[in-house]
Amino acid sequence: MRFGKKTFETILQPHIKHLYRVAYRLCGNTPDSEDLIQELLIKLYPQRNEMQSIEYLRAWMVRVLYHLYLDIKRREQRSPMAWLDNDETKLDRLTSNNTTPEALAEETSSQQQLINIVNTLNDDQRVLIILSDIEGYTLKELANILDIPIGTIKSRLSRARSQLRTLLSREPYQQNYHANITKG
Amino acid sequence: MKCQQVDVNIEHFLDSQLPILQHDAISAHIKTCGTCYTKLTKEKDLRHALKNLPVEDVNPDFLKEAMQKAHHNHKPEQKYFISGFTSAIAASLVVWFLSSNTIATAPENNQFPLISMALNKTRTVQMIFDSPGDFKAVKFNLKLPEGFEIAGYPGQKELDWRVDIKKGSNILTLPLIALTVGKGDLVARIAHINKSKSFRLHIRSKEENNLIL
Repeated sequence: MRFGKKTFETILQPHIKHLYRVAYRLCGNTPDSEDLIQELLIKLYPQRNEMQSIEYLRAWMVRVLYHLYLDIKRREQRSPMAWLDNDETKLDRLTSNNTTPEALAEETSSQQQLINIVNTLNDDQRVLIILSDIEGYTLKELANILDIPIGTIKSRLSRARSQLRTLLSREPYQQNYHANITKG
Repeated sequence: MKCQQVDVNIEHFLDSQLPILQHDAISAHIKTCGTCYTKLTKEKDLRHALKNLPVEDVNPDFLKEAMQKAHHNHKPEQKYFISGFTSAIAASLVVWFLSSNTIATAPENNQFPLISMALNKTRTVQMIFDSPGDFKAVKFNLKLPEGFEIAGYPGQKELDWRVDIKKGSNILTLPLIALTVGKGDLVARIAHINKSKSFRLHIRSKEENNLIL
């Protein structure tokens, strides 16, 4: 028996916000996140029957999402020229270091600083921090999502965290980050 | 337990990845060691801050539309729909080459567009084309004449890549550099499945003093 659009929506309903959140963490902006989710839905739709019997569906969908993200990144890298309509959204990423000293005291600014620091990690480290420390996936789930042995995940995650701590200990982030902690 | 052992295992402690005895030993040490307690608190604070980073919510309108697209994209009649589009992509692509925000010449007529360039200076040519629909992984091939190259791709006379194109106007920027004085044709070929279309642009380069644009 084939299931239709309604069933697909029902299957996705409990997970879609989470999937979008992961997409947004990976892409860093709305248009790219929406494109990624659109590609995910197109890819998943034909598999809607099989999806009903997948045990850890959310982790499985994040895995599909992550691989689509990698495909998109590879496609972009392969393209020697930039499409003009994408330029602005790419520029939005990893920016905004020009806040005033007053604004830096604000929590939102500290959070933005932390996002900026996470975004300065290399892509492998960034993905590990996003999935593990931001989205809370376990090492076992990470190994499954990223197709990497658990031992390798452990050592890479440790290096990623160490790099994050190093970046955080540098000015001007240190002051803001600790201000945020004190507030929290 | 020594502070160094705590230091090495602090992450695994927080990840609950340690054997119970080791976990308990660290817990006991932290209760009596201010330095390790501070380190643990900092690590916990960082993780707390990461977990609480704000994120944008999904737009319900987008979601509704995305679901529709996923559904329509999979309809059985899509097979024929795509083949119709496949020929459409080659038939109805309208391409212009723009240089310095001015349309050089539309290539639909018999005259190929022509641009002039100063030697060793990058000149951005924009290739604009109207697509009848969204297409995934459209293949682009670019052949450059002798003495010209794309900025960032030294020595490459031919470039291939794949890209998704959207319905409507798509703009591709080609940062051209003239390495020697001369002229030739840049040929851009767009292919999707078994259909393709080529476009030609005459380019010539001169010493800057002799350049009349």
